[in-house]
Amino acid sequence: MNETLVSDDQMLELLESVWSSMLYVPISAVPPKGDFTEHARLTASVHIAGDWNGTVLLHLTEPFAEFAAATMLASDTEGLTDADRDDAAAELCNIIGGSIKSLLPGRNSLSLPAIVKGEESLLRVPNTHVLATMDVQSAGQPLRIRILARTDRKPAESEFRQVASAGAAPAGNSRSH
Amino acid sequence: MSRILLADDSGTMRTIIRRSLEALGVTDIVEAADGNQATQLFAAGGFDAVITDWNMPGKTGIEVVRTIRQTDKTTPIVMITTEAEKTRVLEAIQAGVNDYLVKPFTTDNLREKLGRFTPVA
Repeated sequence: MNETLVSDDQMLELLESVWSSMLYVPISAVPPKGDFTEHARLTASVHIAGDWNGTVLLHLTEPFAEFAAATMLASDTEGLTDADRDDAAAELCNIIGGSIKSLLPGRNSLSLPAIVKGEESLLRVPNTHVLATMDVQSAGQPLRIRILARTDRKPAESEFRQVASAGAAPAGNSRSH
Repeated sequence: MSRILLADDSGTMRTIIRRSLEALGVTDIVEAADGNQATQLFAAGGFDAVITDWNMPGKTGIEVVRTIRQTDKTTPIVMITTEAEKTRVLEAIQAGVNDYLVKPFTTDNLREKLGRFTPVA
């Protein structure tokens, strides 16, 4: 992901911990796909504010959200509601965000999670740039985790190098969620 | 049989924690979906232990703990949260939390924490 905040290995270890205790299926890193919008229809977000400021995004497919909700609620998929799927995705992002926050320097606070439905391209977090992107796969579905950093401080050069090597594009800033 | 107040704004997390509690033999569980509801329910009395999240709308978990501790110094409170930093753990303990569990957690983790204060299977 990047050298200055969370390494790829740390991120994967963190995800494996969440997946093993909440979803009981493996998760593995896969090569980044340039266009993720054909897959992702749900984006969960949680903001971190304090000595470090930014946003953690979890992009996921509807089938994965349904799988996650059914597993976490120990329910048949037929009995699930949209609210169940949204809440499961939000809670996964909340736990991932909290774990990332614990790796950050200084004192920071975590927001309540939020959900945006629709294509990833519709989601914009103002005044941020993409610091890191990790594509993963679980239960036969693609997922993407992104860390956005506030741009009101100058990012370290190494952060730019990592973003460039991951092929991630800067986040837009025209709309918020 | 223990009666437990469970406060978490995520219905999914409440279900997961409830399932773990039931696996530990605790079936008398009262749920609160935010901090204000948690303190109102606790004020009605009759709880043997409290499990609370930290980040909730209305009162935060820390505010819930401080509110409870104004009138009750003894009922065990276990915080289950994504807040994993040592400074947060210390803050929670200073507020009156008896023990602390970081999400994600397993039923065994909850047994270890809750079992210190109330009978569990």
